[in-house]
Amino acid sequence: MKTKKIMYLSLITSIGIVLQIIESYIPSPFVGIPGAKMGLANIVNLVTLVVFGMKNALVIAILRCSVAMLGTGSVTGFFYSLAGATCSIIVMWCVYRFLSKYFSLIGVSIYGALSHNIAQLFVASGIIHNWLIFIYLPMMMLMSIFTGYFVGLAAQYVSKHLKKIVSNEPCVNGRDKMRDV
Amino acid sequence: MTKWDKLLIVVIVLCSVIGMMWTTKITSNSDHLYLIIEIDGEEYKKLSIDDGTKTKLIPVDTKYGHNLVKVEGEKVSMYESTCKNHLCIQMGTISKANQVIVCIPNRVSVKLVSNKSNIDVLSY
Repeated sequence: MKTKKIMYLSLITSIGIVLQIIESYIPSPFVGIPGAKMGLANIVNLVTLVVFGMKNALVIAILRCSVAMLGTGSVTGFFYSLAGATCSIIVMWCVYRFLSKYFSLIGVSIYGALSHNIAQLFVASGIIHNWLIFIYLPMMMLMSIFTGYFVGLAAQYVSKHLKKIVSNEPCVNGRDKMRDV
Repeated sequence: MTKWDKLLIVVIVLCSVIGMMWTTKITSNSDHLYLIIEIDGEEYKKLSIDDGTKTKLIPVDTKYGHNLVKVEGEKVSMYESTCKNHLCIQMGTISKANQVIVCIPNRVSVKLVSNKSNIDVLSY
């Protein structure tokens, strides 16, 4: 079970890294707002959070950010994505854990996108010592609805199937099925 | 999609519309504008701009990189930058008080401020 979990987690991490690197090559779909991104890698965070829990999601987020920094080569981007990812995971976990009666995964991911943006703006204002950058917050909030909706929808499909795969495969009578194959 | 999701979306849209209205209000033009270029939060250059100012280019050279700020009348934009992502150039033109252009890789921020305070009149 443990090996299996490590395998799943490392697969998910590598998918996240690939998504983040591919995303850095896609031009921003939102004209007029510099730096607005789709947040494809957030799909990975949300799926891990739902299927494997918060601790694993945090580990995966930190691993993904540090490896993707080596891939894309932007060090300032590393601080943004790390702050955004950890903040959004904590917020999404709180919402998913305590408010999942009310919100579906789409709502959870909109909360995640919102907190991701706010955390990034905090980091940016810390780096440049200028609070005026929060002028971009309203536009980013509007964008986070679209990205959050998209990410939530994708995560809903993925986590539904992944949950089934993860829960079905590992154990038959307490033994690892894969060992017999 | 539950009804709470829809409610959340509506609330966020309302908040951002109100926020946008508020930001356009505080970036509204007032009588005199100053251009401040900051590096790492410290003032690098401050100059006043008027309608009559003809086009000029202000070089900003630091250990982080090279930037060129273009001032065209009351319109200020980032003309050239050695940063990698060029988001500062994509930020376009600013012409009102409290607007800002930032170039995070080179730690440069360009902002416009007015000498007028936010309070119009005080009455006792």
